[in-house]
Amino acid sequence: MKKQPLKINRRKTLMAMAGLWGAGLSVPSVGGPAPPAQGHPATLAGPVPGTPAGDPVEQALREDLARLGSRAYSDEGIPVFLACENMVAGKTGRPAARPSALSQAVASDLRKNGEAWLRLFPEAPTTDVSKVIEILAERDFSRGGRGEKS
Amino acid sequence: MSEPPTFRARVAELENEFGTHPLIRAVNFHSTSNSQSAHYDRQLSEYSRAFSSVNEDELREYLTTGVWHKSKPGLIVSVFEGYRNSYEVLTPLIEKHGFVGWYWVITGFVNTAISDQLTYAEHHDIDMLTHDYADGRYALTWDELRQLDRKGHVICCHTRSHTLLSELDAATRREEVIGSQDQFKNNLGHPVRSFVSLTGPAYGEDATTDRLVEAGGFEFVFSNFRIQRIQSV
Repeated sequence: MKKQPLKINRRKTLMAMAGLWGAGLSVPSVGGPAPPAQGHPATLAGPVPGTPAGDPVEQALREDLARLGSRAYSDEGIPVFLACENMVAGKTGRPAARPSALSQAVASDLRKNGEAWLRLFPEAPTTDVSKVIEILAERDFSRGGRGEKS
Repeated sequence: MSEPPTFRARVAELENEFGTHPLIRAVNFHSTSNSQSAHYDRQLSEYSRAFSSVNEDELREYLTTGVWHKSKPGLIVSVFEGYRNSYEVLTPLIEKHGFVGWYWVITGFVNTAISDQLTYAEHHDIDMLTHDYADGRYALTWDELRQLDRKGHVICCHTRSHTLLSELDAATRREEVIGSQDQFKNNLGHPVRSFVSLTGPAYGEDATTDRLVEAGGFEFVFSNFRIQRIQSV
């Protein structure tokens, strides 16, 4: 049996659907070590100097980073969104299930917050995307969803 | 090997993925130590006010219709790796708050002798934040899995040994996927329907893994931010 190429302590790495806050790494949504990081990962040290103050999206991201920074990912339940695809639909000729209002809202939030994240952390690695999604899911879950059925 | 996408490209990719498919919520647990049980209780209690349980038949219906039939949105409560504490600590809370647990089991971990389980965990990226059990047993047993199965929880495949499939030769990869499914058949009396490997990949990203997952009879492939229903079972 082949050993994994990355021997990373789970407490220090992101696990399925979680982000690594303290060390600035993040892993894919499901179970395992992150792909090689690019650039400089986000940290709690703060945004790039010169970032305009007062942008509400950026401010909310800073606040959530600070609040979630002490998470022990191996020991907590981490919220996430999963996109559902019925690949059997095409084979049977039935139309695929359509996206919902939640789909549109999360996609829009991801775009908006992704742009804000890059303003705060211009060299953010790909793996930071997991952090952004985690923040969006955390917000959604904490307010009990968006009042939709799905 | 191709370069990984940039942050911006990955955001765009996921924005499209989320925006063009129905979404479902999930919460991922791993080790659930007894010292944190009050925290888990509060978390699941909060979630139970807003979200409802999901089993595999309900997931199938949702994926095929895009319509969720319950009054509250569904929440998949995933518990990874096959820790003993998922049965002893988290399961009572999952059940207390009306959820269905999805137990992603590393069959090699369950099959490892008790005396070797900590060593196995160390070598298979199974984090052990706490050492709560004086008897040394840190993995679920097949008897516990059968009990979870009978109670309506979802038992899922997380491969045999929790290693990157892309790094393996063909025979070993087959053992990770189909060999693991055989373990479920032998010990539960039936195959399991859902599969996820360490870090993915999604169905369609690796042809070799795709063929194995199909041959293993899995209906659902979970991966990074996605659930794919790949075949009828």
